[in-house]
Amino acid sequence: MSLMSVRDLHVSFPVRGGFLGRVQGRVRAVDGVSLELAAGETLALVGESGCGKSTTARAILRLLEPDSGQIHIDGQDLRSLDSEALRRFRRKAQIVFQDPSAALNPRRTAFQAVAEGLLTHQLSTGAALRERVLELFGLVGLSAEHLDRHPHEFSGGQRQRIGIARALAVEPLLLVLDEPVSALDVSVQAQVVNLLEDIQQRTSVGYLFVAHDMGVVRHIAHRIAVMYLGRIVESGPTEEICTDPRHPYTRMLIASVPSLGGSTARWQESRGELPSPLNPPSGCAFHPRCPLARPECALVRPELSLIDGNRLSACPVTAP
Amino acid sequence: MTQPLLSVRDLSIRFGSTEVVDRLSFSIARGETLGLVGESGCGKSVSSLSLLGLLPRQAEVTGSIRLDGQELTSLGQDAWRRVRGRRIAMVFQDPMTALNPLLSVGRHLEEVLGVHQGIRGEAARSEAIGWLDRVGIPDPSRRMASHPHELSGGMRQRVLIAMALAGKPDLLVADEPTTALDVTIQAQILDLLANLRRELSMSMLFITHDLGVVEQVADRLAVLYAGRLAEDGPVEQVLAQPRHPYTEGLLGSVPGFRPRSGRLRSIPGQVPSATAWPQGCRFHPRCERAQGICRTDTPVPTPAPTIACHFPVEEAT
Repeated sequence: MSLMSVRDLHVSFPVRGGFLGRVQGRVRAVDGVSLELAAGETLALVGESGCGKSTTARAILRLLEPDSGQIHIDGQDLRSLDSEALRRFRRKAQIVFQDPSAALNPRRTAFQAVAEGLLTHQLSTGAALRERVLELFGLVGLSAEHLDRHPHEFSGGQRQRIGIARALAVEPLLLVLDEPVSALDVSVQAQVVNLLEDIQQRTSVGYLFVAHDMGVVRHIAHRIAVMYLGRIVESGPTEEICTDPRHPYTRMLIASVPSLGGSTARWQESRGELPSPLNPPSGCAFHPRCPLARPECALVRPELSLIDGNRLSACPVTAP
Repeated sequence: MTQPLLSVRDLSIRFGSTEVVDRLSFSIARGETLGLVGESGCGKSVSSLSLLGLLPRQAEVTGSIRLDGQELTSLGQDAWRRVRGRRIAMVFQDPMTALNPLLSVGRHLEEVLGVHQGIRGEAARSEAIGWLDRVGIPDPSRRMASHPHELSGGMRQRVLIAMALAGKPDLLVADEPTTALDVTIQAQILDLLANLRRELSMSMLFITHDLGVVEQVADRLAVLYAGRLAEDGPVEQVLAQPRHPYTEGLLGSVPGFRPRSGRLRSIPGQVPSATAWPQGCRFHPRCERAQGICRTDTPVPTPAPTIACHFPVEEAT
């Protein structure tokens, strides 16, 4: 059974404009996204800024209210939960944000940040609470001397460790990682990536890993889903996507990655820019940038369909 | 051997009692691209600003920066103005803050052309349109009237590149010019820079934290750590066979774009701060090769290929 199952998720935001700031329309940030994640698995959600990957991740945890769609985590229908039930549910699914400085309250100590979830969910109190926080600190490579320090006394990498310890405190089944290493220095990034892998091996937590760095994604993810303008355009096992991308956007994305020792065949020269989500192109949203576009691509929006085994692609032109 | 275009010798930069760059030496030949790599706080951006005389007044600069034999560190403000933009130009990381939000794209370029080339009026306008076209901005004559907020990040960076190149500099300093951009746009900008550099036979100092980008754009690679040069050599050689333990660790930390092969190497600990540099070799607290001498004595960089380490990684035979 899958740990997380998302079906046809839609999220839109009002667009305000004019003198009175009236709602003039809605931008479809997430437009029919479906995802599956098993326990102990890492699914990377990749795409460029504005593609809707972070919005998808937040809507799955109902940090943003989706317009429609089904979200099941550990068999529970998230969209049916009222706020109290949702609060109790949060124990099962946690999130780590990109910017560890903005995610921590500057006035609270590292101990308080990590203990909060344990107190909220009444998992631990008193001496046992301190023990448990220390244990979590050990898990993420911090020590007792760090307990009573404030966020400004830590480096970026250490702050991200606190963010991870805080998320892990309640023993979640699912951890959403929204660009967890993007703000860190390269040498520290590797420490955090290794840490995340160790934790997954020990606890079988599932990771929804939102990222734009294809190198890190190829290293850490089991499967990849590629987003473009609010929709998944391709998904499948990591190595298959990285070595044999099918959707023309995935090909452009991967061909653009500076390789460092590896080889990225130049399948496709990068061209054009992401269109405005306020005014998305008709048909396939990628067609204005696509070297393989045919006239019908501007008319019909292709659906994600099975191309072989366990791979999905939303391009009829490159489908076998 | 011909004299290098840029020669930096024993460059040190201090802010009060804090020394952010310590006796940095490197040179750039004509037509060559040097990649300057390091993590936050290593001094790469401060060093690049010193090449354009753009450091704040309280910065204390010692050592020598020579461009074509001309010493730059002793220049007055007027003399700097004749170098900056004309001989050495710069492209910054964040194209939004580097452009004036009140001025059109055309005004930005016309101003640069007026100051550096003395081209004004209709001639400046057609030259500006030509530059926008060269940096790949579609419909350039219409784009002249656009303001920075109407452009995407990639288009803004193209405008900045056009502005930097309009003075026909000998050396372009590019400080993380693609870091704020998406990867498909980054690929376009890197291609653009490579083509223009070749066309104009410029030299380039390319500052980045991304080793993959360096491999793509640079001829030579200089690695900085904690305000000092760790290693400097031909890019393929340094990446294939790093000699400084920091370079080796840095390379092990980057997954690259290749199939997963076990854990990342990572470097223990964290980058030190300029207010508390370690004694001796500044990398020693994080270095697995460190011995007694590393804790007390600063390693002296060897002549080219440069390595500043008491116990460099052995060359593979």
